[in-house]
Amino acid sequence: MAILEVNNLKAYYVTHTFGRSSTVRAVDGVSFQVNKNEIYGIAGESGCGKSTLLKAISGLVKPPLQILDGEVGYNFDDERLDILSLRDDRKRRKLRGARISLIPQGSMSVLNPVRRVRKAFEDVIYAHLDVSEKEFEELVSRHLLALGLDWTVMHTYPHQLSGGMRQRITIALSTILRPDIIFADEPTTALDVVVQRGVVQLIKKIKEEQQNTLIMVTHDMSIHANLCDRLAVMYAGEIVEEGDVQSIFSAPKHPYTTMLLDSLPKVGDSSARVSAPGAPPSLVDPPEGCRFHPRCPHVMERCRVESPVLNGLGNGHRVACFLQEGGK
Amino acid sequence: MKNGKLLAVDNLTKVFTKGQGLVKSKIEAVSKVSFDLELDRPEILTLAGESGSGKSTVAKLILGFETPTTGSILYKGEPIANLKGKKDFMRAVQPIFQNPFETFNPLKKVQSYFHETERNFTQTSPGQYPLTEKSLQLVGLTSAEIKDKYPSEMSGGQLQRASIARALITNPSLLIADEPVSMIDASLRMSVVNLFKTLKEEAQVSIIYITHDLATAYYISDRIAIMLRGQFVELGSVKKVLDNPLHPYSQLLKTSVPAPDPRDRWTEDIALSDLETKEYTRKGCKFAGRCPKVFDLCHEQEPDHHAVDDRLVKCHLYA
Amino acid sequence: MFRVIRDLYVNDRRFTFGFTVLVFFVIISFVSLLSPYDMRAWNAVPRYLPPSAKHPLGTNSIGQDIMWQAMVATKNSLLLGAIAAAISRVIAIVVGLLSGYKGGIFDRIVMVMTDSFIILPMFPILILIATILRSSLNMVVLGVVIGLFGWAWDARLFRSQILSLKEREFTRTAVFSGLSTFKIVLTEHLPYVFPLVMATTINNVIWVIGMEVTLSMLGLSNLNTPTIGTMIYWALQYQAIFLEMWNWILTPVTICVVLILGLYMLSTSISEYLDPRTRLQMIRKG
Repeated sequence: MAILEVNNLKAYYVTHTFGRSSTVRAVDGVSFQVNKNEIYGIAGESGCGKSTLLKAISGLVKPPLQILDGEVGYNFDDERLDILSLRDDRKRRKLRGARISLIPQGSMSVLNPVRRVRKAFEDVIYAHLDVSEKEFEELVSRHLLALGLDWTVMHTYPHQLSGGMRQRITIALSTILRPDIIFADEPTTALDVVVQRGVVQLIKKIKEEQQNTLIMVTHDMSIHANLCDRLAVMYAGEIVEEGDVQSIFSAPKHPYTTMLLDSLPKVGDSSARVSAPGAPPSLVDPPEGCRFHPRCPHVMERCRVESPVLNGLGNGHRVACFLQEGGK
Repeated sequence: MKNGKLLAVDNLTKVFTKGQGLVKSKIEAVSKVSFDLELDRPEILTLAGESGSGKSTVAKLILGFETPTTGSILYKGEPIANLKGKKDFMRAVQPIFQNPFETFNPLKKVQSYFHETERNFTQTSPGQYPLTEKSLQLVGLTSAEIKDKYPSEMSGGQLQRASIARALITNPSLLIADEPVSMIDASLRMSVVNLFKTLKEEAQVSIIYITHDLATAYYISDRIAIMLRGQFVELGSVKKVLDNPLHPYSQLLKTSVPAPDPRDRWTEDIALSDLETKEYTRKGCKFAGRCPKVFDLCHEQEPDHHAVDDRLVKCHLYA
Repeated sequence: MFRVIRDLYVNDRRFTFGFTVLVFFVIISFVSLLSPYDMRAWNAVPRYLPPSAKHPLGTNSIGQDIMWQAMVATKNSLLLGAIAAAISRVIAIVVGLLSGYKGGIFDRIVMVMTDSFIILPMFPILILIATILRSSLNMVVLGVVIGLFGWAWDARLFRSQILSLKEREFTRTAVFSGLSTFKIVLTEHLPYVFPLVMATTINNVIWVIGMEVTLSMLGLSNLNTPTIGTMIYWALQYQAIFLEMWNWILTPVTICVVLILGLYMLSTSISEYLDPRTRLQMIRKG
C-alpha cells in the first residue's frame, strides 16, 4: 500500500531582484510512490532538485519556492491528506513530528545553541502530547536508551557534543513520537566515515523497531547501497530511473546512472575510473529534449528534441530514456 | 645547500590553546609527526583521517599558515620558518583548497588570479599570459570556459580544476591538496583525481593529498599515513595498508567505508565514541577507548612506532 | 556606473526618492552661488515681507531674503557634511583595515586608541571646543573637528570585517598568487567592505548635519555663516514661532527633514544593492 503518492509535482523558485527575475525549475514534473515500511532512496548530485523535492513533499514551502502543479498525497491508516492543500497551519503543525518528521542536514543548525538539549525534547513532546513531567522523562529515557544515548546529554549544550552525537540527538528528536514517515535529508554528509556508519546503523535500528517508512535523500550512492530497498535517481529536476536497489546497481538502465556508478572508486580496486564529461545543467535554462543529452554517450537525434517519460520495464523498474523504448 | 629530501618533517607538534583567562585547555592538534618526501622521486602521499585527526593542520604548518610548537619542517634543507611568505618558496610549494567556491573571491573574475600568479612569479610581457593557457590545457579547461567568468558561473569541478591550474603556473615541485574533491559531485570527482595522477607521472610533481575518502586515496596514492587525534598510527604503501590494515583504527576505518554495492552491506554494529575532547587528552594510546583489541598497557603508555612489514605501526600489538 | 544608477532609479523607490532629493539639493547649492545678496548682511532687504514674486519665500526679521538664505544654508550644510564625512571615512578605513589585517601588538595598541575615542563624550567636548573657537569657527574648521570624532566606531566595524575576511580561503589563494598585503586588502577585501563604507558614509553625513544643527541651535557655532542650523537659531531668537512667521522657521526645518530622510533612503537602498549577497544573485542571472 502506498503511504505517499506524488503526482506530477512542479516546484520552482521564482525570484525578483532589482528588476531581474529568474525561475529555477528545481522539481519539474516528478511522480512516484512510496510503500509502507520500505526504505526509499532519492539519489542525485548537487543541483538535481532532490532537496527541493523533499521540501515540497514535507510541506515546507515558503517563498521564493512555489508549487506550480501536482499533488502530494499521504495515506495514513485513518485518513488521506493532500499536504499541498492544507491551508491551516495548525493542521500542518500537528502533522510535523507526529506523522511526518524530518532529519535535516547539518545537525549543528537544528539544535538551538543557547538551550540545553532537554528543551528541544520538551518542545517536541509537549507540542503534541499532554503528559506529565514524569511521563515525559520515562518516554525520553526509554527512547535515548534504545539509541545508545545517556540521559546526561539532556543537560548539555549542543556545542559540548561532537558532530556525531548531535546527529544522533537530532535523530532521537525526529523519532520520539514514532512518526509514520521519516524524511532524512543528507543526514550523513559532513560526518566522518566511522560516525556515518554509526548513524546509518542507528537509523536502520529505529526503522526496524518503530516500523516506519523512511525516505532517504543523499548524493552518496554507497549509503543508498547499504540502506535502501528502492531507489530513485534524479537529474536536473526529474526522476530518470527508479527501481529496487539490487537492479539499479547491478544493471542500471539509464546512461546517467551507469555513468554515475562507473565513476565511483572502491577501496581495493584500482582499475581506471572515468568521470562523467561536462557538468549538470542549470535549472534556469535546462537543455531542450532530454536534459541529459549533451552529456550522453548514446545520444540520438530524437533525444535532442523530445523529452522521454518514465516508463515501466516490468518488476517495478522505471526508466526515462529512449534507448529503452526499443531504440526507435 | 644540497639536501637529499624534498620535504623533511621531524617530530612536528602543534598545540592549540582554547579558552581565555582562567579556563584554558590545550589541544595537541598535531603530535610528533615525522615523514619524508624524496627529492627526485615524485610521489603522492595521502594523509588520511577523520575530522580532528590533524591532517589539515599539518597542511597549514607546511604552507606556513601556522607555526609549529615544536619539531621542524625542512624544505630542501631549509626550515619553513625562514621560507614562508617568500616568493621562492611559494613558487615551489602551492596549495589546493577544499572548497572550490571559496578558493576564489566570489566578487572577482577567476582569471584575475591566473594573471596575478603569472605576473608575480614569472617573466611575462604585460598582457600576455602564455603559461595560463598552458596550465588550463593541462587540466582540461579551455580559456573560453574561464574567460570573464565569476566563480558562481562555473561548476565545482571546473573551479577545482581551475584552482589546480593556477597552482601549476609557477611550476611547483610540491602541491598540498586539502580535501580537494570532497565538495565536488561524485560523478565529477574522478576527473580531478585522475588529474593528480597525471601530474605526478608526467609533470613530476609530488603531492600531499589530504582526505577522509579512502577510495580515492587507494586509487592514486603511493603511500598513505592514517592519522588519529594528531598522530600517525600507520604509515606505509597504500596497497599494503588498505588491503591489509594492521592498526585496529585503520581496520575500523576500512570496514566503515560504505561500498557502492548492495551485496556488500555492513554486517556488524560498531560502538561510537563520545566526547572528542576525551580522546585528545587520553593518556596512553588515543584509540584505547574504543579499540576492540585493547589491553591494560594501552591505557597507560603511548605506543612507539614499530616497523612491521615495510611500514610503521603505532600500536602495542606489534612491539 | 550609470547603468547601476539607472537600475536603482527605476527599480527601487527608496533610491528614486533619495537620489532625487540629493540631486535637487546639490543643484540648489550650485544655484546659491548666484545669490544677489550677501548672506551675512542684515537689512539687505525690507523686513517682514510676505512671499511675493521678488521674494518667493518672503523676508525675515533681520532683513534677509529667506529663499536665498535657505539655498546658501543648504550649500554650507552639505559642504560641511561632505568634508566631515570624508575626513572620518579616510581615517576609519585606514585605521580599521590596517589594524585588522596586521593584527598582533599593532592591532591592540590601535584598538585601545580607537576605543578611547569611542567613549569620549563627544557632545560636551564639541560644545567646549565650539565655545572656545567660536569666533574663528568657519565651516572647514567645524568640519574637521566633527570629522575627527566620527571615525572611531566605524573603524572598529571595518576592522571586524577584515578580521573575518582574512580567514577566508581566497585570501590564502591571493597570498599564494603573489599579491602584496596592500593589494590583497585593496582588491580582495575592499569590495566586501565597500558597501559598509557607503552606508556609513551617508549615515555619517546625516549625523554631521544633525550635529551641526544641534550646535547651531544652541548658538555654539559661527552664527554669521548661514547654515540650516543657524537659520533655525536666528528664527528662534526672533520669536518666529510666536510671530507666526512660518516661512522663516519652517523653511530650514523642512529642508533638514527632507534632506535627512532622502539621504537615509539612499543609504539603505545603496547598501542593499552593494551587499555581496545581492550582487551574487545578480551575477548568477547576468
